[in-house]
Amino acid sequence: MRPDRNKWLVLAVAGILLVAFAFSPSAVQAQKDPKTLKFADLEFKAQKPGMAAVKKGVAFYFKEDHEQPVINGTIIIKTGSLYEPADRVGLGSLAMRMLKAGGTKTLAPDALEEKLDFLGSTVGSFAGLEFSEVSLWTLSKNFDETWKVLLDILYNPAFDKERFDTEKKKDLESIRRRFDYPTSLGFALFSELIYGKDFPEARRTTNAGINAITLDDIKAFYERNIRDKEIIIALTGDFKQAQALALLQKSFKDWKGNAPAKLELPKAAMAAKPGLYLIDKPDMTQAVIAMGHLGLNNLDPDNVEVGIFNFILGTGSFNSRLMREVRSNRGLAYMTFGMIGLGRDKGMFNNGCMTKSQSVGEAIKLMKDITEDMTKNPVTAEELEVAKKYEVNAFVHKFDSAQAVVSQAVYLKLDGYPDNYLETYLPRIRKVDEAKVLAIGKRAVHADSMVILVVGKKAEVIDQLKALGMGEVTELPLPKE
Amino acid sequence: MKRSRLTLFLFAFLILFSLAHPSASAQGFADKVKEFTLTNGLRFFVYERPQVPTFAGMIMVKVGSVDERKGETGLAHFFEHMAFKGTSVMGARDYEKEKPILEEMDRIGDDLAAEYLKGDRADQAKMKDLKDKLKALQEEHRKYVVKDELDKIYSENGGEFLNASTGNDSTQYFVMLPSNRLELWFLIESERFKDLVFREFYSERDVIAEERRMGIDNTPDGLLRDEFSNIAYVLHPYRHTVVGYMEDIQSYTKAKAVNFFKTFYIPNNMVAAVVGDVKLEEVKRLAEKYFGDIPRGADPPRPTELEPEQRGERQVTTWFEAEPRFMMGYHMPGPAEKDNLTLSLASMILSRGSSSRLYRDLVTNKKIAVSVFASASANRYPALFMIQGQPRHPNTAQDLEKAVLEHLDRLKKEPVTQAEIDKSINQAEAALYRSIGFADNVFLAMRLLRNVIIFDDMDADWKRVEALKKITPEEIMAAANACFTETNRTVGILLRKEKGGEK
Repeated sequence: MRPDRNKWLVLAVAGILLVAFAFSPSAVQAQKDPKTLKFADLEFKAQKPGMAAVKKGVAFYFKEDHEQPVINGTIIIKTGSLYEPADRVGLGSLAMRMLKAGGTKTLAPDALEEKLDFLGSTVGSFAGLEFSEVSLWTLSKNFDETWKVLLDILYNPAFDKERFDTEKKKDLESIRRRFDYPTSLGFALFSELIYGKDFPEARRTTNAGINAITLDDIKAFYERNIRDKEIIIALTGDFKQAQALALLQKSFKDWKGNAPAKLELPKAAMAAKPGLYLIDKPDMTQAVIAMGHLGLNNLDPDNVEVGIFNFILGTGSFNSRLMREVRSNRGLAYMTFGMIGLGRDKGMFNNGCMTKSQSVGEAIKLMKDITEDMTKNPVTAEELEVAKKYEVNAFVHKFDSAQAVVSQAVYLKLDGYPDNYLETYLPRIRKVDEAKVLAIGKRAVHADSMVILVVGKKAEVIDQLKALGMGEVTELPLPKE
Repeated sequence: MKRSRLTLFLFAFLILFSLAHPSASAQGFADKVKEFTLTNGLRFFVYERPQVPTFAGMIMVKVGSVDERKGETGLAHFFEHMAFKGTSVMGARDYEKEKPILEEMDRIGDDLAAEYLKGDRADQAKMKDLKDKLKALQEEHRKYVVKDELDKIYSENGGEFLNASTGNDSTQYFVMLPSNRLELWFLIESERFKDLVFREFYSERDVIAEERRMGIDNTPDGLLRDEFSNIAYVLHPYRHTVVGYMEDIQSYTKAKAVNFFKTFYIPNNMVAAVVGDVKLEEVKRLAEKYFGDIPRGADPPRPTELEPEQRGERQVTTWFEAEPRFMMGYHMPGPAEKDNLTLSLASMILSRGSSSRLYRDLVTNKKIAVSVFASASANRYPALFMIQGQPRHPNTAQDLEKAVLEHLDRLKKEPVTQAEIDKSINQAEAALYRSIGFADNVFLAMRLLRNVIIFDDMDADWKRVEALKKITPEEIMAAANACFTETNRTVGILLRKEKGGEK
C-alpha cells in the first residue's frame, strides 16, 4: 500500500476542508507518477512479409514500402564458412568478398566500384557461417543499374588476381590486429575454451591457412558452394511486387537453385575443464571477465521462454540482476551482460563484465552468485511481471521497418523455426511462470561448471583469483594469432 | 553470351515495367515535419509516420563536453547518467527518509573530493575512512529506493532502445514506445527534468570511471584520440574527451552537477522530436500540459575560448599493446564559413567509397593501409579536418603519413575533376535517404534535432547537399591550400611498446 493512501483515510475523517487541502499535493503527486497512467496492451499481430516461389530453390520474400525512394535487396545463399575445409579457414569469407572485389567478366574491379559509387549505390558480399549474403541498397531511380551489377557479380565473377592479393593481405593484417582490443581477445579465447579451437563456431583464421588459399580454391568454392545454390531473395522498399516477381523470374531463369551439400558437423562439447583461466596483459588497468559454458539449441523447446530467464539475468538492461548489482548498486562495471545463448548446434551461456583490476575477485564472486541463485530460487513475481510485460508491449518493435519484417522472417525460416513461431510467441510468453524460469535455470545453467576467463594484469589480479576458492588458476599464453 | 542476354533483358525491363517510381521532387523535412514552440522556448518537431504503431521521442539539449569548464570535464556526460536515476516520486520508496541520507552522503562526498584534490599530499587514511562511511550510507540508502524505476516503467510499457548519449555539442535522451504510450513519454521526460533526484551519485561516478577505463584507457583508438585531442587544441574545450579526465571524474561534487543542470537544462536550451505514429494536435496538447510549466531560463554561458591559430606542427606518440594507428588533423573553418562545405566535399573525394582517392590508392593498390578515412567537421564551433588510418604491416604509420600527405599536396596543386565532384554529390544525395533498417524513428529524430542544434535549420543537411553543387574545383584547391599546411597540422601515432621507435 502506498503511503498517500493512508494519508487519505486520516484526512477523510478530519473533515472536508482538510481533505480539500490535502487533495492538491496528492493530486500533484499522482500527476508526477507514471504508474498512475494506465494503458491497454497494444494489440499487434505479427507481420509477415509477402512470399512467393520464383522457381524451385529460389524463394522471394518482400515488403513494399513507398515512403522513401529507396530499395533494399539481399540474396541469401545457403553457403558459408561451414563449407570450407579445416586447413582453409577463411576461404568462405574470401570467396564471398571476391565476388564483388574481383570484378566481373565485363566490369573490371575499378570500373565496378566507380560505377556503384557514381550511382550512390552500395553492393556488398559477405559470408556467414551457414548463410551468406549479396546485398544492395540504392535509390529506386538507380535500382535497374544496381541490380544489373548485382546479377553480374553473382553470375560472372572474374576473381581478379591483383584484388585477390589485396584481400588476402587485408586478412593477414586483421590477424595481426585481432587482439588489439582486450575485449576481442577475451571473447575469442572464451569461445575457444568452450567449443575447442577447431570447432566451426570458434575457429579463427591463421597466417598459414590464409597463405595456403589460392585463386583456384576461390573459384572452386564459387562453383561448388555459391553458383546455382539455393537462394532466398529479400526485397524491401519502393517497388511493385508483381513487377519485381517478373524481374526475378527473368533474372534467375538459369539459376539452378540446388540444395547445398550435406555437411557432417561435429557436435558441441565443452572443450576446457571448468575453472579459472588467466591471460596476463600487464598493460591493462581494467580486466575483461567472461564466464559460462555451453548454451542451448536454436530449436530448444524453451527457445522463447528462455528470453524471460535472460531478461531477468542479464539482457533486461537495468531490470536485470547483473546490471542492477554489478553496475548500478556497486559501480563495478560500465558494461555487464549475461544470457543463455541459442545456437546452430549449441550456443553459449555467456556472462561478462569489464572491471578495474582491483575489483576482479569481487565481480566474479558476485556474478557467480547471481547465476547460481537463478538455478536455486524462483525469481520474484515482480521480476517476472516486468519481463513479461516488456515482451508483450515491445513485441511491435520487432516489426518496426519493412527490412526488419523481411529479414526476421527469412532467418527464422533458414534456422528451421516453425512457420507459426511469431504467432505463438506471445501466447508462450504469457504462460511463463516462476517455475518455468527456475526449470530453465536448473536445466541450462551449471554455476559450478563454468569456465571463468580473466584477461588482465596478473600482478594485480592473481591473489584475488586464488582467494576465490574456485581451484587452481590456469595461466594461458597470449595467443599469437 | 550470357552477359549480353542479360543486358538486353534489362533494357526491355526498363521499358516494360520499371520498378522505379519517378523520384519525389520535394526534398527535405519541411513538408513532413511540423514545428511548434512553447512560450518557455522549448521547440517541438513532429514527424507523423503512421506505418507502424510505434513512435520515438527524443529530447536534445544544447549542452555537451564543449560547455564544460576546466576541472569539471565529463560533467555533461555524468549528468546524462544522473538523469536516469528518477525523481522524488519515480525511484523513491520514501523520499522524506531518503533525503537526509543523500545530504549526509554529499557532505562526505565533498570532503572526499577535497582530500582527493590534494593529490600526492592527500591523507590516504582519511580517504579510506570517508570511502567506508560512504559505502555504509550507500547500503542504507538502498532501502529507500526503487531501483532504476524509470527503466522499469519504460520496459514494462514496451520501451525499446531506451538510452541517451552525450557528445561534444549536445546531449540526447531517447526511447521508442508503442504509439498508445505517448502520454507516458511526456510524463517521464518532463518529470526527469523538473524533479530530478541526484541519487546514487557516488556509485555512478565509479561506473563512469569504468566507462573511461573501457573506452579510453584500455583501448588503442580511445587512448590515441584522447592524447591527440589534448595537443591538437591548446585552449578550446574540444580538447577534452566527452567522458572527461579520470581526475575530474573522481572529484565531481553534487554541487557542481546541480549547478550544471540548472544552467543548461532549461526549456529554451532544449529541442524535442516526436517521430512515428502520432498526431500533431495530441503532441501539442501533451507538450503544453507537461512541459508548459517549466520556466524559461537565462541563456546559458558559452565557451569563451577561441582556439589560437596553430603556428607549428604538433606530434604525439602513445603506446599500447596493439598494431599501429595513425591520426592527423588540421584546424578548419566552422559551418558558418563557406570553406566548411568545400572541405567536406574534399573529404568525400578523398575517402568516400572504394573508388575514392585514398582508398583506391592506399588500400587497394599500394596496400600501405587496411583502412584510411578523411572527415570534415561540422560542429557548433570550428573543429578539425581529420584523416585516420591503420597501416598494413610492414608499412609503418610514417609510411602512411607520407602517402596521405602526397594526396593532400595533389589536392593543393591540381583541380579535382568534375566527375569526382558529381560522384560525391550523388553519394551525398543518396545518403540523405539511407536508413539503418531498424529504429528509423530514433535516427530521424536525431538527424532533425542535430540539424536544429548545429545549424538552426531542420533541413540543413538537405540544403548543404544542394550547396555542394555550386562548389568548383578551383575552390577546393584554394580551401586545401589554406587548410592543409604544415604549421596547422597535428599528427598522432600509436605504437606497440616493445617495438619502440618503429613507426
